Amino acid sequence: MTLPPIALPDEASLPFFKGLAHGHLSVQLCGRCGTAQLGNPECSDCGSTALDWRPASGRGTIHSFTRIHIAYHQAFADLVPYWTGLIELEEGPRLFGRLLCDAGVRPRTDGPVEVVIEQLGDEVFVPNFRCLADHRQGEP
Amino acid sequence: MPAAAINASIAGLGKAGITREATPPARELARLAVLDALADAGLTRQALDGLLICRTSAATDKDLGLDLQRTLGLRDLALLEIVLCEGASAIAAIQQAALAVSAGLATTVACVFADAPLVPGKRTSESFGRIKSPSGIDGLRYSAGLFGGAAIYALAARRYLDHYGANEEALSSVAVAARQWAMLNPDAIFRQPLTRDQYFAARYIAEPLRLFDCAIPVNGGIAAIVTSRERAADLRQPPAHILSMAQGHPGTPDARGFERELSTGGRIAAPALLARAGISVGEVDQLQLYDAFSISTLLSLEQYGICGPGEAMHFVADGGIAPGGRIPVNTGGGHLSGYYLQGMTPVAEAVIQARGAGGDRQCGKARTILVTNEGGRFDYHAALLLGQAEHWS
Repeated sequence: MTLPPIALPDEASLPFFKGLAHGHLSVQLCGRCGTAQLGNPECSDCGSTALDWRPASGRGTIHSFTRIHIAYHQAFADLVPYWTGLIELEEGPRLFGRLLCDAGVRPRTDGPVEVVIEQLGDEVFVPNFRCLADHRQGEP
Repeated sequence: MPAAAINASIAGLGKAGITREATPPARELARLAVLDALADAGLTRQALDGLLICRTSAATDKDLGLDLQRTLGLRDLALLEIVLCEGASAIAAIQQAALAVSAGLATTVACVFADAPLVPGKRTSESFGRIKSPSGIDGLRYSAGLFGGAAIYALAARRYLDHYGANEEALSSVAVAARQWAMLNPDAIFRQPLTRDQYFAARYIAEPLRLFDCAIPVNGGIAAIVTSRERAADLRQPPAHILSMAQGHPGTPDARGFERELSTGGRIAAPALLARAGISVGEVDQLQLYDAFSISTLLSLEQYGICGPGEAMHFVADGGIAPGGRIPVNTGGGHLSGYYLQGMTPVAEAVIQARGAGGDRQCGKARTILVTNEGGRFDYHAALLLGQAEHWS
């Protein structure tokens, strides 16, 4: 299996990627102003360096989504067309992740999702998100 | 302290390639474009004392670098740089040239962009799915399968349509209008008619963006010669005066409470740009907008106050930005139907219009022209107001 290009952890995001390997999604919380964020060396809001990683709930909503129809990369050749999007975690920060949809469920802007951590390689873990059945889903 | 006056005009415009066929590499296209721009202005290369180079964010020194100076045989330059601001690089370079000329650091500066993404035997998506640096949290975009600009702008388009309750008709209006303008432009790549049905019948690239929502890649180069108004007045072409310039870089967090996809750097640049020229947006005669994807045109119309938030879908309906519409927009066909040479596409069309050299697509009013550039995920924005010399002397 061909691996997609994998995000290289930098110093500020390393705990996030280590968390994935341990099976959980995490967010940074600012000890001064409480802003939740991802992978910042200092708080994006107040500049404090008192940031602590905490487990996230793993729940969120779809900020936006798309279905990709072109295999830009070999790793996605068998998946095309596939859903993917920008997820807003319950705690506030947004991140990119593939969207996994059971039969009869389609992504919807602001629709609910939950994280599914996928292991792609020996030490490679990525966050995908399962679209949850949603009473607001109108179309099949 | 009062703002320093800008004394600069675009006095020469040159092009090379602009084709879907195989061409020499980018550095050669850049060389040819600079020579063409010099000839257009009636200058020799000895007149140049500045060279500003723009390239795509994926290009390296091997593709197009500072050694373009030697390739062009330029001696004793007073200004030489590579200007990197993603899609906003072309205008950023012209702004830098204008500042240098106004401050007396250089007299005559060539700004050039070139790219040659189309290689025989290689799929276009390989060139435009290029990977930047997949580091940190943003690097997740690649493992999420979001390659190239189309995927990122598709997210913006989806967010826009759902946020304002619009549908894909709004995107189609932009694409169809661009084609109507392109049909009047002999230099445009896509010149056959595009109906709404044909638009919707075309394949999706990244939903909701279809084929004709996306820029047409070409191999080519464009160069602009920037010099003072006084020098420009003595040259071969009617100058396009740089009336005003601005940038805007929002740095919007990816987090709840922010709409990174709906609020571009144009929001920051627009008021500064207009105030510096001392005009209102109603006095702008035409818009040459960075439209690598159809959604960008809708956003720019709103960011510049041509219409209110969420109103662009109505503004573009019924031919609002097509020939004969409310205001001329992307009169050469833009990136969508003209050609995609990043920030230089709208710059070139604005200069052509300001000269009155637009042929069948020349607009009756071209006194004051807004030109925009956009890069990143709406992260980087640069804009110019260009003025027709006879109106703004």
